[in-house]
Amino acid sequence: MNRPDLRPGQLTIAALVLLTVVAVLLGLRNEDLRDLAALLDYLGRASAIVGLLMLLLAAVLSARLPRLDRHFGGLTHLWQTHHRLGAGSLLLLMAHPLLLALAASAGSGGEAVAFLFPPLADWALWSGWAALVLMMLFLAPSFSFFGRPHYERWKHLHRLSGPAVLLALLHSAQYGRTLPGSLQTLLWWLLGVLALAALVWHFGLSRRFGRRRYVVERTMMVANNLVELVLAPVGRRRLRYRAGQFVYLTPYDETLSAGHGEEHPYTLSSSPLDEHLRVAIKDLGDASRAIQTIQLGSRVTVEGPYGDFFPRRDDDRSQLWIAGGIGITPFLARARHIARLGVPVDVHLIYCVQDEARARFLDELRDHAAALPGFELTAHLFYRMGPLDRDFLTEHCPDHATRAWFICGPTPLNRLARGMARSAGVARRDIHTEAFDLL
Amino acid sequence: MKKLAFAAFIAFWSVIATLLALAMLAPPASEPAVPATADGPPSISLAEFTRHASPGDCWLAIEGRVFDVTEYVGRHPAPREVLTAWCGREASAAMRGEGDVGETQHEHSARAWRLLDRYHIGALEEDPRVERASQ
Repeated sequence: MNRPDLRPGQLTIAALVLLTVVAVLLGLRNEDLRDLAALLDYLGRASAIVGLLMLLLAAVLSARLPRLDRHFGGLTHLWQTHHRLGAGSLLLLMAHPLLLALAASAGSGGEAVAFLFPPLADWALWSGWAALVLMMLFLAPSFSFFGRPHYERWKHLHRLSGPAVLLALLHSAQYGRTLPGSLQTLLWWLLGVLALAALVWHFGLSRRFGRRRYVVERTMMVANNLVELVLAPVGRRRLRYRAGQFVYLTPYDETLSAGHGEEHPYTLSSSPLDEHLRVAIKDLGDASRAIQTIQLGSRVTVEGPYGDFFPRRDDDRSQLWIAGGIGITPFLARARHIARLGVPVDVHLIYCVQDEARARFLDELRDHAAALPGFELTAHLFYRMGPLDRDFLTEHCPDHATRAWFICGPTPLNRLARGMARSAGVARRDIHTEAFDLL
Repeated sequence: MKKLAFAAFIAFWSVIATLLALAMLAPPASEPAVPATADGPPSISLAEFTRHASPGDCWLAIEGRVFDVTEYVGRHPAPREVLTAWCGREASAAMRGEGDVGETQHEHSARAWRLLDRYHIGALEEDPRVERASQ
């Protein structure tokens, strides 16, 4: 398993969690160690504090503010942090009532049940139950409790996170007794306000203030399951982005059989110097299938940009690009941008596909390779050559160990290429990956 | 991570279901922790009772009975001061959630009353509620 990248964003989150754990440990008193029941009671309270903190931090990250994601190494990495926080929060907050019930039970199941299910008038305790059940509901699809979730249903269910956060804070305000009062007030108020503001922004205000309007000017069927949309800006607000970034695109075309008014993440395939935005969309589900036939002139909105795949400043380092399938799009955008800039580069692109017939944009990339000094292209055909390996790299790109690696494709390819880079001795900071699995 | 979360989810509801089953199979609620003897519970004077008025030595008088809840102070589910404010005092109203006893007070559950019995140490010689009412 690859170690997660630690950028300032992840480090800040880890530091906040660690500081809270330290504060909880400092709140440990002698009487908490008196007997097993007292210890279980303390652990029950400690799990609630750290679990609530993780829930609030996960909510804060969900704001999905453009440019914030760069501190996490891109939105995909930010979502992974959000996902881990959500999982940790759920585990700890499920442990919380059980530990307290065990502490209060004195070995009696009846006492434990009486603790867990008090009279309805005990609203403070029931607010905790409500928060936990809501968490289970909105996190169930995220962790595929009942099979792979439907994307839009999953997003709708995630709106329950707002009431869950409110109820959890209400519950904590009634029972909090482990942290010093001032620290508890500061922590929960500050993070509570930030978390709720983030949720309000994400589920409400961003639609109005965070999105830019475009209109579909042209569509190009690259293959029978891949369309490239050319979008013209409406009004003066245009998206500023870097080559290889992605956006959340929402189509407003009522003739679509699916996905009308739904936002989905797609990589921009255009150069930032282009007048129009271009988005390459592969048919991978109901919405992306329907959008293949979107009507010309229909309105779309884009929110972003997101992603931190390529460095913000161009450097002179030689680069190895490894693309798999539709993972070619950020490299296509980058190649188009290099072509617009007309500057020499030192880039070797390994394009991994099953066979040449499925190598989308291969002709255009070959044209770029022929025209751009220092831009080399090699196609790796899985059906003929088997999985990508070091021998192939050594044969076609002998200096691959000295290059900065950029990898974008399906998860197995990302994992394989990352492993090859590590075994070739490439430093972790020189390995850049982008994944499409946001769930 | 998905497998771990799912396993924990199943484990959580399994524990809850097991506890519910145990509660249904358990015998009815037990008798008070301090049974009445021929002489009755130990008698505690008001002067003695009021000496135990700190979080580290906390006695409560509730409906004529005295409880040493010192051990329980740190485990009370509400913030510590909600309970410690009543140390060395007559706390029947707080336990019943009656009268002006603060907005966080409420009628305590049957379980809370049973839990209280564990800390029963005696009976108060004079009932401060009667004393207060007569003043």
